Amino acid sequence: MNRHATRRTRFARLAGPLAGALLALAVVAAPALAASAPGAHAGTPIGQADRLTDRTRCATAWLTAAADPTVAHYQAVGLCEIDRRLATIDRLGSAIETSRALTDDHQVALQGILDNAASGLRALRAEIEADTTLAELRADIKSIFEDFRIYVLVTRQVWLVVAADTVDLAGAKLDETAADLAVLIERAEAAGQDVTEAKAHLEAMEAALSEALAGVDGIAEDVLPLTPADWNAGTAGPILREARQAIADARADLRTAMAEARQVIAALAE
Amino acid sequence: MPNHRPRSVIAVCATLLLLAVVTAGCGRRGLPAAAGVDDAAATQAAATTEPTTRPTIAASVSPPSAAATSQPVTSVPVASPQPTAPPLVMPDLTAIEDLLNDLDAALGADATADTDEGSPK
Repeated sequence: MNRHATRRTRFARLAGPLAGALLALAVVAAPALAASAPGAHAGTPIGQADRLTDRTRCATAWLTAAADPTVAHYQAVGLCEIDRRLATIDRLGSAIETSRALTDDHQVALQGILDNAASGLRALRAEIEADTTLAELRADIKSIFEDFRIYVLVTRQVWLVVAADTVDLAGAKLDETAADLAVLIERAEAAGQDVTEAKAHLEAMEAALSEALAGVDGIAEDVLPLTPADWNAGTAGPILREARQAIADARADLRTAMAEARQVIAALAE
Repeated sequence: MPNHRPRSVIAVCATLLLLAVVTAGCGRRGLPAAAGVDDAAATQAAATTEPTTRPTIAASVSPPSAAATSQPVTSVPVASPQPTAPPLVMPDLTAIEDLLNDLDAALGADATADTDEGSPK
């Protein structure tokens, strides 16, 4: 009894310091654990971890349903795939709201696409929850992909239209820059400076700029009307590919124009 | 002696409670995403939450009063009492550079979008 009492006394004495030590350990370990969490690693883009988590969760649901094809398991698959898409739509909505280049018209058009897709997916979600047979579930799950095409079409519509509008805005700003540089060249020339090199770079800048702006003309009008049916019929894919290539070419032209603008500035500064 | 048991029990419970709170805090890390459709898109969405307020190109040719903060290309001797030409002020290209970075991000997002589609099995 005395031995037990002594142990209890010893434990009671140690309890306070022990609690303090554990608390200190927790405080030290918390940031370390958080830093090693997926997505917190330097260089891992924001949102990637969540997206991978969503995909992983759905992949797990698929595996479970394949191993044990019950109504409950296929409902889990359908709900997972729908929720993953709804989360993506939310993120795309935030992206178009905060884009600094998207025109108002294009923002409205894209938001309409996102809203329609979200309401359709929510209705389908309710159907999946009400499904009672595997046949119904298989048809509804197929519909998640074929009737909405959130990733291969809608997501690409958003980013390609944002990209095309960004080319337009950057091009407009470079155009203003070219006009400013032309004035500076005139003034430098009037002051007796040799501006031959500056003029040559300005011409190259303006040529690259024209190429960039011509390349993206009409892209948004080609991309915005595309539908999941167009994708399923094979007609949307080539349009998206061409749009992407045109924007990538325009980007290269804009980079060239920027480099030439810097050359003009350097020549004037000599 | 009768006080020892309650005191130790309280200490252990408090420790467990603190650990639970800290663990819950760790678990919540990384949930929010900006535009998690894809890597570059997310980074971009985060980068575009606030519009740039850098000086615009249009304001690049500043009046003579702004000469003190500008970079003159040609320097005019000030010894002369005659009025001097305003110094040349070079355009600020940072706003355009920001837009080109946005463009890179949008194209990056487009490039990886279709990998998320999957297919009905």
